[in-house]
Amino acid sequence: MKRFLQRALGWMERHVFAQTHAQVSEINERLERLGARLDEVQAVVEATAARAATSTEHSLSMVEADARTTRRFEEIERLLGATEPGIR
Amino acid sequence: MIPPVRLAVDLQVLQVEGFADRGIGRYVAGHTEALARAGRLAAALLAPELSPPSGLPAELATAGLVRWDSMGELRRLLADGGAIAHHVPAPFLHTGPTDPSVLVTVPHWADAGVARVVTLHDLIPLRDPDRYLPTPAHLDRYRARAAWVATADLVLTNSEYTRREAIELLECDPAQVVTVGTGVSPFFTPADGTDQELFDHWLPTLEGRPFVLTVGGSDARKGTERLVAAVGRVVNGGADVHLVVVGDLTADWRRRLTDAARKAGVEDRLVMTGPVGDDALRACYRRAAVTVTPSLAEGFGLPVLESAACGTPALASATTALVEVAATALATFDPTDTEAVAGAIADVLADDGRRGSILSAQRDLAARSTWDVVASRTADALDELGRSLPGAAWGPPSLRRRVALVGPLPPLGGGIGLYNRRVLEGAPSDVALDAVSALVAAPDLPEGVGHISAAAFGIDARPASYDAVVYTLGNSHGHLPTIELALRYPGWLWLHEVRLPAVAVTALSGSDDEDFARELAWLVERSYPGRAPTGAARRAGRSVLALIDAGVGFLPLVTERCRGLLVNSEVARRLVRLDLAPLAHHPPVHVLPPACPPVSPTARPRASPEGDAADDTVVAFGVVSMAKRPDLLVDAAALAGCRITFVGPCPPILVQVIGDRARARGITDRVTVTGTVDEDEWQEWMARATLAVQLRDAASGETSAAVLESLSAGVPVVTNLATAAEYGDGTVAHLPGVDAPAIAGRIRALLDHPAERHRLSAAGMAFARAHPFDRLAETLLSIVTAPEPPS
Repeated sequence: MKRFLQRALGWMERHVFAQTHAQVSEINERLERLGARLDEVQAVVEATAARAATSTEHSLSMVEADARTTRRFEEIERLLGATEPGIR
Repeated sequence: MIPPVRLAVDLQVLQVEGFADRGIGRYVAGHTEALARAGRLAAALLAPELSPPSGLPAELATAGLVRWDSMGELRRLLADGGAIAHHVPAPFLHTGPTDPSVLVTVPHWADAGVARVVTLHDLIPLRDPDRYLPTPAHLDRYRARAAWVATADLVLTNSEYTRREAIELLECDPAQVVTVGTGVSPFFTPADGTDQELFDHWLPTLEGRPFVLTVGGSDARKGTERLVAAVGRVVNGGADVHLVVVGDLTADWRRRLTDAARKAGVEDRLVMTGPVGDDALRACYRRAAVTVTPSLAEGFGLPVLESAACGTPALASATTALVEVAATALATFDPTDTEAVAGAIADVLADDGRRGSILSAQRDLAARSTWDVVASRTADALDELGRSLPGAAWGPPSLRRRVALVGPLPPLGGGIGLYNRRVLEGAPSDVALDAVSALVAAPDLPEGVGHISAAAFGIDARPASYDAVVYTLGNSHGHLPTIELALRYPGWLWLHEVRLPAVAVTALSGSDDEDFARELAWLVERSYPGRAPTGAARRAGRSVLALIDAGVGFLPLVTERCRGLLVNSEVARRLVRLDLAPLAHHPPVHVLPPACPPVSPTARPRASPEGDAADDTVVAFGVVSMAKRPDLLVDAAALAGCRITFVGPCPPILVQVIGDRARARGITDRVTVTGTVDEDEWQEWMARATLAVQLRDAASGETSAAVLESLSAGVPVVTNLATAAEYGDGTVAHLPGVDAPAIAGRIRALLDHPAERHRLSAAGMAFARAHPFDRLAETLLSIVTAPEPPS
C-alpha cells in the first residue's frame, strides 16, 4: 500500500509540476509527510539488511550459528543487570 | 647472587564458588598469608574475569599486596626488580572441557619466561577417572593440565603421599617436587567455653550428648555412607552417640545418608548441618567425642589435625595421605570394612588410654604443622630454585607490547571491517597483534597478526594477557559480539559512531511491538537512570533517527566499564560528552587521526586549473541508507542539472524510494543505482567520478570511510559531515545542514569551475598522503599501551 501510495504521489506530482507552482507546493508538502514516514521505512530497511547479512553469513558458513543475535542481546542485557530474559 | 625469590601468587581459587570455602581455598589463603610474613610474597593476584574474592585474608588486602592480574601488573612487578616466580596454588581449577583454562595457565606470565611454581594437592581424578572424568573430553583436559603441572620449575606438595603421586603419575623429577606440608590455622584451639552459647543455639538437640563428627561432602569417596553404617553398629553395641555430618551436601546425598541411617537404625541420631563457618566447625571439633575421616583417598586430610588442635582425637582411613596425617597407626582403620570402622570408633570411645595416645601424637603433629613452617619450607625450596635456574631466568624479560583488536573484519563489517584490516596492516612490527572477530575460519590477515574467534576470547585467549584490548564499535547489530566481549572483558572502546540505538533496534527487529517497547524502555531507563526520556523514546519506536533525535545514544551502557574511549574526531568527542551522565566522572576520551588508503604514486589531481569540459558524473559512495538522505541527493541533482550515481549496496526498498523520487523530479535518465560492486568496479567509479557527494542526516559523530577513500583517489568531495570539517580548510567542500538547494548550488559551482575542483582534488590527496594508516595505528597503539595506573 505504501509503495502504491508513493507511486501514486510520484505520478500526481509529475503532472502537477506541469500546471501551477501552488499545486507543486501542495504536493511537496505531501512528500514531506511521506518523508517523515521514511523513518519507519528505514527501520524496515535496516531490519531487512540485518537479516540479509545474517543469511549471507550463514551461506558462507563462516560465523557462529543463527539465533545468536537474540542470544547475544539477552547476554548483553544480562551483563547490564537484567534479571530475566524477556522481562527486563 | 640471586636475591631471595618471591612469589606472585594466583589467588583466583578464592574467586571460584565451591573452592573458596573448602580445604583448597583455606590452604591457599593460609599459605599466602604466611609467605607474606616470611617476606616471600611479591603480590597476590586476582583474576579480573571472576567474582570478587571470598575469604581474602585481611592482612594481605590492607597491606596492598592484592592486585588484579594483568599484563600491566606483570610489567610493574617485574620492573620493581628482584627475583619473582609465578605461583599457581590451585592448578586444577577450570578443567571442564569448555572451562576457561587460560585463566590458570596465564599466558602473560608464561610469555614473560618467569619461573613457574605450582602447588599440587592431589591427583585423585587420575587414579579414579571413571568417577571424576566422565567423558574423554574431561580426561583429555585434565591430562593436558597435569602435563602442564609436570613442566613447572618447582612442584610443592601438601604431603609425602602427593609427592609420590607426582613422581609416579606425572613422572616429575624427584628433585623438582618438594613437600611443604599443610598448616593448621591457629584459629583451631582447645575448648575455652567461649562458644558454648553458639553451639547450643545452633545444634540444640545435641546439648550434652556425645557425638561422632565427620566433615563430609557429596562424594562417595568420602566414605560417609559407610560411616553411618559403622555408627549404627556402635550404637547397637550399646554406645550412646550421635553422628554429625558437617559440610555442603546435595539433596541427593542428604537422601542417601538418611536412607543409610534408617537402614542402620540410627535415623534419629544423624545430624546434617550443611555448610558451616569456621566458628561452628571449631565448636563441633571441640565437643565431638571423636572425629572420623573415612575417606578412600585424600591428598592431605586437614580435619584430622584441626580436630587434634581442638583437643579431640581423630580416626582416619589407613590410605593415601591420611596415614601420614593420622600420626599413629592406632588412629587408622580399613575404610572398606564397616566392621573395622565401627571397631575403631568403639575402641576410642571406650579406651581413654587409647584416646590419650592418639591425641598426643596428633597434637604434636598439629603443633608442628603451622603455616609459618610451611612458608619456611617453601622459602627453602625457592632458594634452591634460585640457585638451580640460570641467572638469566631472573633477569627482566623483554616482552613485546601485546594488543588485541576486537571487531569485524572483511568480508563482514562494511567500512569498519575494512578500516580494522587497514589498521592491522599499518601497525608497527614491535607490537604483537591479535585480531578477534566473529569469523570462525581465520581470515586473510597481514603477516604476524594472529586471529582469535570471538567465541574463544576469554576461553582460549586471556584478555588480561594483553597490554590493551581495543573494541571497534559501530551502530548495527553486527557489533553485538564486540559489545558482549567489551562488557565482559573491559578494554578500550573505539567508537566509529557515538550514537548506538541501531544496535538495539536491529537486534530487536524480530520482537513484536510490545516486547520491543518493553525491552527498549528497559535499556533507556538503564542508560539514563532517573532521567530517562521514556516518552520520546516510545514515540520514536523503531526509528533510529527519531531515537537519536530523542537523545537516546545508549553510550552510558557500553562506557560504564571501559578503560577509555577512542573516537575519530573532535565532533565525536563533543557528542560523547553529551550522552554520558552529566556532572559525573567519565573514562578518558582520545581523538584518533583520520586515515586514508594509500595514494597511488602516479595519481594526479583531477581536472585542470585551466578548465576542461565539465563532466557531470556525481557519485554517492558507500552503503545506501536513509541516514545518507538519497532523496535529497536526487532533489539536488535535479536542481543542479547533473547526473547522480549511487555506488554501493542498496536495499531494494531504497532503490524504490530513489526511483520514485527521480520520477517525481523528472530525471530518471540521470539517476543510477549500481547496487553492490566488486573492488575493480568500485575503483573504476572512483576514477570516473567528477565529484563525490556524501550526506548524513543525523549527528552520530561518524567518520565516512567513503570520504577518506575519495580523498585518496583525488575525487573532490562535497559533504555535510561535521567530522569532515575538521580536515582543514579546503580539503572538502563542506556544507552545514541538509538543504537540497544549497547542495545543488555547490555541486553546480564545482562542475562549472574546474580550477576549484582541481584545487580540492590536490588538497584532498595531500591530506590523504599526510594521514596514512600506519600513522593512525601508531597513535592508537601508543595511547592504549601507555602504562596504566596501578590497580
